[in-house]
Amino acid sequence: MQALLLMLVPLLPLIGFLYLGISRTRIGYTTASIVACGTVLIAFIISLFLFFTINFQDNTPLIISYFPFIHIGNINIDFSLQYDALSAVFLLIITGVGFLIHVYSTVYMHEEPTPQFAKYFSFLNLFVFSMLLLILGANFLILFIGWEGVGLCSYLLIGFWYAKTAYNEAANKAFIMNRVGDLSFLLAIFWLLLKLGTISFVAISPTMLSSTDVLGITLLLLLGATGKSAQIPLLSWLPDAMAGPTPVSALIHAATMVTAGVYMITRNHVLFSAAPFTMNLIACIGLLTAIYAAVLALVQNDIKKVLAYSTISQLGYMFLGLGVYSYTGAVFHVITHAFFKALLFLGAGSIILSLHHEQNIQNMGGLKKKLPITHICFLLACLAISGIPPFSGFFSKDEILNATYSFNPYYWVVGVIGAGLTAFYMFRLYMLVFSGSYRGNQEGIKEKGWVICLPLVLLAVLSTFGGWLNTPSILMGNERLAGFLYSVLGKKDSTVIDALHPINQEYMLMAISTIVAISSMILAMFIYSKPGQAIAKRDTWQKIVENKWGMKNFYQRTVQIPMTLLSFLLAQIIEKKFLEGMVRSVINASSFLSRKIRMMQNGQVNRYIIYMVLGIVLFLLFWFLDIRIYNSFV
Amino acid sequence: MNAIIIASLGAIILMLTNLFFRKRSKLLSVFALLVVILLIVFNTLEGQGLLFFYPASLNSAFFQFSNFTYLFNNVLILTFLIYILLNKNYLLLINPDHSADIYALLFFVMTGCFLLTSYNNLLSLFLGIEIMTIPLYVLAGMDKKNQKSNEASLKYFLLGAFSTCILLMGITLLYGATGSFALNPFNTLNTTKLLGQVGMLFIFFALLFKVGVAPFHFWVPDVYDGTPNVFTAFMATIVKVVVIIALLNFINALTPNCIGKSYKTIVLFVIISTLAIGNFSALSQPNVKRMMAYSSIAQAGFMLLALYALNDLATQGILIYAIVYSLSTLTIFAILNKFSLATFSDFNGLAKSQPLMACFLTVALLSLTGIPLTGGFFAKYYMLSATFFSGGKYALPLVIICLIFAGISAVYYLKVIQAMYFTTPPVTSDHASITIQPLATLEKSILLLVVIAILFLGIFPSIVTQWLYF
Repeated sequence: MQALLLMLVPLLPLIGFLYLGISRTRIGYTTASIVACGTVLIAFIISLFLFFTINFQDNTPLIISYFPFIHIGNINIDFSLQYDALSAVFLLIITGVGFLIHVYSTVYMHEEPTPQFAKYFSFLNLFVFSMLLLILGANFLILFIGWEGVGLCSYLLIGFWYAKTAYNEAANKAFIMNRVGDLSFLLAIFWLLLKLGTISFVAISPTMLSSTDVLGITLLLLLGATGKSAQIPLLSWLPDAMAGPTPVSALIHAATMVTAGVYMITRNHVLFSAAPFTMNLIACIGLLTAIYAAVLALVQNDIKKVLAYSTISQLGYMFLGLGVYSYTGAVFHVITHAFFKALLFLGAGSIILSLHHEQNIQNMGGLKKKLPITHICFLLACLAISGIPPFSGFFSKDEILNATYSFNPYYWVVGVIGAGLTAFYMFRLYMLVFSGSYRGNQEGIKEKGWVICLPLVLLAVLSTFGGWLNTPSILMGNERLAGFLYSVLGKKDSTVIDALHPINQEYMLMAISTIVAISSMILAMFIYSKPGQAIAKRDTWQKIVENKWGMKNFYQRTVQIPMTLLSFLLAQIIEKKFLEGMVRSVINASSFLSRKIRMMQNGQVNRYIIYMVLGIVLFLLFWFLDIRIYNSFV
Repeated sequence: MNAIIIASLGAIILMLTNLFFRKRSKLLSVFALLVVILLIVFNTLEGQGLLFFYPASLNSAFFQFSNFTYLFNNVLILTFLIYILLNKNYLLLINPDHSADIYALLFFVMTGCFLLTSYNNLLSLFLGIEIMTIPLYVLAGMDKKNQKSNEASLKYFLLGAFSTCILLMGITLLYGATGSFALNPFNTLNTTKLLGQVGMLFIFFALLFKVGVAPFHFWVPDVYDGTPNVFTAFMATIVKVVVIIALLNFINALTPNCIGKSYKTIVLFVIISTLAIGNFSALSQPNVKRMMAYSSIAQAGFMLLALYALNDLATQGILIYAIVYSLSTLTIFAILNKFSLATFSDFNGLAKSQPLMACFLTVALLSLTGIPLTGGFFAKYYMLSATFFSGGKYALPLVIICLIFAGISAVYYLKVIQAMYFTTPPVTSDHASITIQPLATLEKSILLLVVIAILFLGIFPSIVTQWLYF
């Protein structure tokens, strides 16, 4: 029963994908919407049912092997799914938030002609299927299938409006940058397979590997994770990925796919915990990315770009959490982030839709009155992401920062500065969009109906109260999530931290980060209360930052120019002179041999018999000479 | 045992029906299908232990039935079923006066095939080979008014007679050395005994001839080219894989000590020269049918890797390879049936005019190339990994050489795909001379199933191999 239900969860979106993909030219808007949303909704209901009926407290996860997948030689990989506390959490996020975004999309994409509309939903369903496979896979192979599947869907959906060249380029960029990470991920899988002979998660244990192996594998896995989760060095694809439809950005590039890296590292926390160097590196990468992206978010004028950089920055916090061994904190932040970032994107989508695809925040302002529901929801999300208590973001970020402090206080300082920046750019965005007076030139701006607003409201509720999932004990909470994940993540990391530093200190840390967040929020509100002036100022600052801290030049210098030189060398000299000659000679040799061999086939039976007899004689001679020689030696 | 008896009974009845059904008759194919279904049912039942007509004394003396035998027989019967379903209209067209004979001959060939999958004795081996090949000589010449068909028949007969001589010679020598026709006593055969050695090698060569690998492949292109399409499809699939299985049984019955170490070197040489000749010749063929003849030589080279590896993995591999290769080849020949002429340029723009046909053909060709997600990939993968794990210093070079030739084979397979999808057909009047018939509904649905099966095996190859062990 459980096996069947668990299988149904990813299977339903797959069926939806197949149905929509095959009959996309024949079905209407209603059918497509019902099939797409319905499959995800049923998957969500099943996930809920599983969540409430399965006991997670025993330490053996539910692993169901459906059929032998690859059984060759001594490699035995089954198609098996794993359901435990960690996958349960992700399952609920993906199907739940995914369902809301599906519903939202039915209105958002309504301007498309029917086949396009159905195609969009088929891709979206395929994405949900791949993502579920990624989460449920009990071994690296299944995870990797999902991993590649979500990459493919991301590519397809970024380039959904493929008539525009820029969008295609963005899609290509995302796909190619991810490929770099995927290659390294694949190498790590092969390495594991070579050393352990198995790649199922429960069987992987660092005690069976040498420390070099652990280090190498975790570093390769980390590079793979940075690709999918848009961390330094593979981050520049995510801002460009905003070319896709806004619900796609909400689902794929904010709530689910980009957290796959975090999930993967959490899933293999046993392995990663055995490699302190890698953990430190993860923390550094997370911190650097968080700061770097937050600063870039300060000056973006495209509403979706701001959110994209903010996503990268928040993912940085999740990595920081992982790096300081606060796996629960990272997962907690994934959950709250899924709520408020999906909400921010859907809110942005509502604004964009109302303004007829205007995305520049310089041309917005004063939308408070015109889009009241969107405004309230967006404000709640801004408060949540900025880490203002008692909204959800506060709790998750605080948990990560707390753990960071006990890991390394310097990291904590940087992290708090990043949190301040977050509050600043979010309220810059908020002020520019909602307060003041309208600077654009469009008439009759209003919200597009309850289908748009309902997901916003639901997500707003979740963003507000999501923090209760894991309220720390010092705030009279009972740390439900940590207790829930205990069976997967082993130690309750926050209790360890409690032992490390006194409660007063924890209060103090909490107070400091709250004060920083609130003061930068107020600062932003003050500066941008008169947006006209604020925008005109600060040209030089903006220039430096818009140049992405010279990152563009950096990429150009370190990657692009040497690559161009190398490709020139390869193309003009090695390819032209050497390889082409070689290929040509292979072709010539093949056709020469081909002609010669055909000559033997001249249609005369007596010739054939002579050749055959010759063959037999040669074989016999060889046989007996060989045996003679062999015998003389033995 | 049931399969042998039912197939031969069916053949005899069909032969007699020629008295009553002189004209093309639908009833013939219905009856043939009925026999095929009986074959499946009884063979499966026998595999489960339900015996009918089963003289116990025959078991060890002439035949030996194992799980693999029943499984492979089922594969053969299913392939035969698909073959009949795809070609039944063409079987009636070749020679309308003798359509019942054609069916009868096909069933005789099947009888021979079943003998060859289960023989345990040199006499039953010989009987199987002859019962299988003599009807084939006739079938090759069935298109009586066509000179090429007659020529093919004659050539096949002459060269086949020659190889039969070698086979008989080998059997005689082995009998002389051991005093028995049974296969098992060879285990005690003294390796140095000249008679036995030569006899074994002669049988080996004669069977290699029937498979059609270098240097005994010369009959293949001429015969395949001249024989009517429908029978070429039959010879290139069912007959070919059966002989390879017979060969594998023969080698497996001998002890490693008895085959000696030169055996592997000879097989190595045969494989490499087969791959070289098959692939290089296929490269420059203007005609797709002749290209398929050479490609079948090259594919046989791959199947011979099982003879090199001789391990469990190779047994699984040959099973998958036989299925995938037969399905792909049957698909291609079913589509070739629709062409009056089949040069590469006749396929130009097929994707536009017959998209479904082009799609089926593409999957089959990709499968023969060994592209992942088609069964052909895993077939090749199994064979190569079996070779690799069999050990020996030549294993790795052999795998690399095979991979290179698989790469070369992509050239001529992809040439067809390229013509179908990326070349526009000529707009001139000679377009009218190229006639391509559309696929009938039955053929469409059968081909769809076949293509799905090919793709399915490309994703879950172990579904088939696990049958071996249950």
